[in-house]
Amino acid sequence: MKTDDEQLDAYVRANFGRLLRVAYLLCGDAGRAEDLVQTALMKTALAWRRLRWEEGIDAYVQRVLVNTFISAQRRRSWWERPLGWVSNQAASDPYVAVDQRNVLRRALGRLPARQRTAIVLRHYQGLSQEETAEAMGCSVGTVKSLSSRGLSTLRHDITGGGVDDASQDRGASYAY
Amino acid sequence: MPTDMDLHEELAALAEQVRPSPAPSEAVMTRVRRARLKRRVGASTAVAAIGVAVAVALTPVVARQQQFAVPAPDGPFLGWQTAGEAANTALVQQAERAWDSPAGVAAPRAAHHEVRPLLVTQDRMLGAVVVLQAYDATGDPRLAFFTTNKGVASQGLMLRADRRLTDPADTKVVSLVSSRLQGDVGTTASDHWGTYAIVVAAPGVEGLKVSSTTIDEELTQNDAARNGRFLITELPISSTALTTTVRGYMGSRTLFTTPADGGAVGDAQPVPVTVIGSSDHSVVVSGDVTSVRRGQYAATAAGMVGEVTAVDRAASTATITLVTSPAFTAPAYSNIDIHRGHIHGDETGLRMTGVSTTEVLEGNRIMVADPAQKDDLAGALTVGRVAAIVDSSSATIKPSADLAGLRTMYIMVPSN
Repeated sequence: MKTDDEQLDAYVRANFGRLLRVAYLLCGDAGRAEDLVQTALMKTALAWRRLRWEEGIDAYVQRVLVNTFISAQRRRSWWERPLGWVSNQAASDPYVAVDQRNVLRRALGRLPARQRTAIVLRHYQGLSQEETAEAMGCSVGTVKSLSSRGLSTLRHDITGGGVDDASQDRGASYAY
Repeated sequence: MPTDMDLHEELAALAEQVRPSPAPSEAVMTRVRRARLKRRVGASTAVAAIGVAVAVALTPVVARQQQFAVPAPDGPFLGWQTAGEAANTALVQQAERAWDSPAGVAAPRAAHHEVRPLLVTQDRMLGAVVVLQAYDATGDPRLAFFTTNKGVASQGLMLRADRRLTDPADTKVVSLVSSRLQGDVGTTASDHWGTYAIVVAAPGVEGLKVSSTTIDEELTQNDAARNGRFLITELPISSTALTTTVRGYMGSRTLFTTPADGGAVGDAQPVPVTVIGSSDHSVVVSGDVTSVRRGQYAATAAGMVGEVTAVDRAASTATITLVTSPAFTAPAYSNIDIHRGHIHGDETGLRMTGVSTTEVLEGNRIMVADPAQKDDLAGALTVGRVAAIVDSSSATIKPSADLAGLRTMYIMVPSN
């Protein structure tokens, strides 16, 4: 019978990569993503014996990861954020070749934390609205709003946004 | 916009870029061991502390609630220490140069003197953010906000707002809300969350929260903040100082709740007016109507009220036709997807026509571009929300402003 630490070690080896990819989409930064996953797994380890096994460790880790991310976003001091966040990302990432990925990453990074979380859980991990609500600790209605808003903002960002030419024919009066 | 499947694939492609560092499980187990050790040490300390706590509890102690007081003024200036990177004198000097020569032309001598920085920091979207106090060339105490031109980083800091300082003995917070903080001076952002609030509070304030009537209720945080005495946050592009409220906290105690101070260069200026008369479809207001013109819009923090249809400068009054008046019509669009139509007042209230009602839903926010903002999206006014779908191309709209209880409002006047 494996000890708790042996079970935890096996879980980390099997799932770290998957969790890191989710965290990367949330944080937008490889270093912060790694830190987020390590923190979430550390918290899980401390609760290992108390976990309700019927819930499944994956759902618990998911919830801890999301809560840790959102809490960190709320607490973060603004001066911790490096100037030129986007350019730093592009310079350090050897896999960036497709401009569309950069556009998506920047657009995702500009979303508020909870909208970004809803988008990642729903559209990357494929969670249902109920599962997403459970992971985020909110109602299904809130998940719908967050997803809807996030998609709208992504759409606007990715397609360039702004006023289309058709608006010039609206006849709006600009009185001075 | 990609389909759901496209988005999944694109997110997956993006996520595949990240690779874990070597031996991640070792790093996790190291953290776990450290955390367990901390808990054991903490438990031992707690046992000893319990004994002390029991002794203390037996002795009546009257807890004194921590008091907050605005620091004494520094002459006409706020007597606040610098928030953020106080030691970054290079940024302060850059801001001073931008203040003295905002057009980019070197000034023969410094126009501002006795400069005192209130905030020096970096933000991932705005770049460098600096807030300064100083005397101007005429000896007036001024407050100025600076951010980087993200379009041309080599230009450095740009002057975004320059105001007269308010009473330093009474000021607990200063703030700026604008969508014109990232590009050239006066140009608006183009993304849906392109407005930013820059807020700096007095020492002693432990947390700040910014809320806006342009944000749906379920997205607003309700817990007290402990995020420090300055805050830079994104808001929907329709947000302005008029629709934004700043709250300051010490612990769980709310120290102040106040409207945001104002906008940046290029933003519309809200002229406060007071209702002195009303009819079914219009109100008469009184105030400084020097800059008021027909066709300008009036609003409260909650939403659009109507359109200026007459101005009497001799009497310092103006007539505002309400949005529910049959005489009122304007182009409008849904906030969530920018589906365009027109709004009209009619005898029953407010209606939107010329829009496909398969694209708008009950509850959707409906916006009207503010002509004083000279932009379709920036600072747009919320006229109301879809109340009911009437037919394939029209819906009734519930006005957001309380038109029956109007006492004061603001006429949105373009900046010079």
